[in-house]
Amino acid sequence: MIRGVIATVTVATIATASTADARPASQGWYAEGGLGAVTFLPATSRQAAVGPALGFRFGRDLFSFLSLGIQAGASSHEATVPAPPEGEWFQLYRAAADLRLGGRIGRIALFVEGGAGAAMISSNILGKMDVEITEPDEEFTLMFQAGAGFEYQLENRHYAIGLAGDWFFLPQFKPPNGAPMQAIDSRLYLRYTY
Amino acid sequence: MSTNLWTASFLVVALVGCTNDPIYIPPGMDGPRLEGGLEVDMEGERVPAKTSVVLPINTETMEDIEDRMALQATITSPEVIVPYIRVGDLEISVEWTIRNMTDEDGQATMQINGANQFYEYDPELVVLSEDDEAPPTPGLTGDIPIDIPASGTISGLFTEDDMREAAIDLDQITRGRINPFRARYTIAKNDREFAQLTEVMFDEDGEAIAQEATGVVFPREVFAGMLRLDLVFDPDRHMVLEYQVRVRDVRGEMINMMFFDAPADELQYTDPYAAENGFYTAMPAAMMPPP
Repeated sequence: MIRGVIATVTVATIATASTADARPASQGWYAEGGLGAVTFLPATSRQAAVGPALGFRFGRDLFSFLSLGIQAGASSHEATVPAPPEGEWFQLYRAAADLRLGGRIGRIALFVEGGAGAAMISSNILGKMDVEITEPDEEFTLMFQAGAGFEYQLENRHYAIGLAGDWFFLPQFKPPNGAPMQAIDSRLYLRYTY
Repeated sequence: MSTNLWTASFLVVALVGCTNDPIYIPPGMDGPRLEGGLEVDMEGERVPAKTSVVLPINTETMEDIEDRMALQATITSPEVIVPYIRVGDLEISVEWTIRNMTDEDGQATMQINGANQFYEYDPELVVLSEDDEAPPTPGLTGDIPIDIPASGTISGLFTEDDMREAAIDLDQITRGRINPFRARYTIAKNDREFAQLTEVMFDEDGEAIAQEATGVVFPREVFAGMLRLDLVFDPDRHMVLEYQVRVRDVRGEMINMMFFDAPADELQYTDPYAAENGFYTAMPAAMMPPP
């Protein structure tokens, strides 16, 4: 009888036991800070060089596969317009709300994201005659973006590092002959989930 | 952690708010390129290429008027008028590139003159000596011969310091009646004041007589800022000058970002060559050629 109970308990224990998740990840409110580069795509890439970027993102995981966030980013670029002027820089500031869809495979999380917001350019250098990407007194534009990335969960359940790339589109910043300004924002980031 | 993140976010926003970015002013009516070295006058002398860039200044607001009148009330001399745009309100610089279009080495000079809200300055109208050997009256800045190799390109910059000096020299020459040579070849950009001199008089030989102080002193707070830049390009062969005027609006809200597409009532000074709408008048009589 005792042997039978022990055997039953042992079998039940083995059957119901599972290994503990080696890299548990927190879920809930999160914040991200990242560094990277913004690269303009053709039509405007001749007038603006690749530049360093930084960005912040705050949000909440609504479900394990869906999160909602807001983001702010800034990048700095040399204006490569016909000289003069030469060696002048401008800054691009961006703010948006976004949705992120993703899933986790062990310590790796993959996601796609998309959002909309606004962007502001710091000077009118791209409004120079023969360039005319911005019009007089035009500083702001709508912004749409889409991208993807992956995260690597660290030992601490609150932290992850990630690599992501977002394509963004600024419809109002448009040269007379050519597509509106588009760029790729690539970034390495650190995520903290509360 | 949360506090740090929010601090970082606020820093980003604050940095956006603190930027004092340059504004790139559209070129004058002649466009961003000046071709020189092609024309000669009836006497075979080269004719320099010229263009003017007027800054699109917002119409003075009631608040600005009150500030200006408050400053005016602190000044006792009725001859010392506080201008709307003062030195330091706008920091101007001019970047340029000269291309030699020929296959021979050449030389070019560039000169910048201009106007503040009171007076314009054109050195061609100022004759300080009847001696044919006398050097020409200097411009406000520039006048330095630049060697341009055959088919070559040279770039340069009139810095904010250069243009601040030019603005003060312009005020010294016009309201202060200071000899243009003295104004141009002394450093005034850090001066706290300048004293007005008596009108330029000439002796029987046509030479200028020494001037004396009138007792009127212009403090730095009333130094007039430049509102119009006149570029003079004088190459010895066919060359092209391209330029870009940029301004940092230090006081804020002085430059109309619509430039000259703005409604007329939003601009204080629109006609570069007329004395209407509060703009400058011609050279002061004291600086005109002697009869």
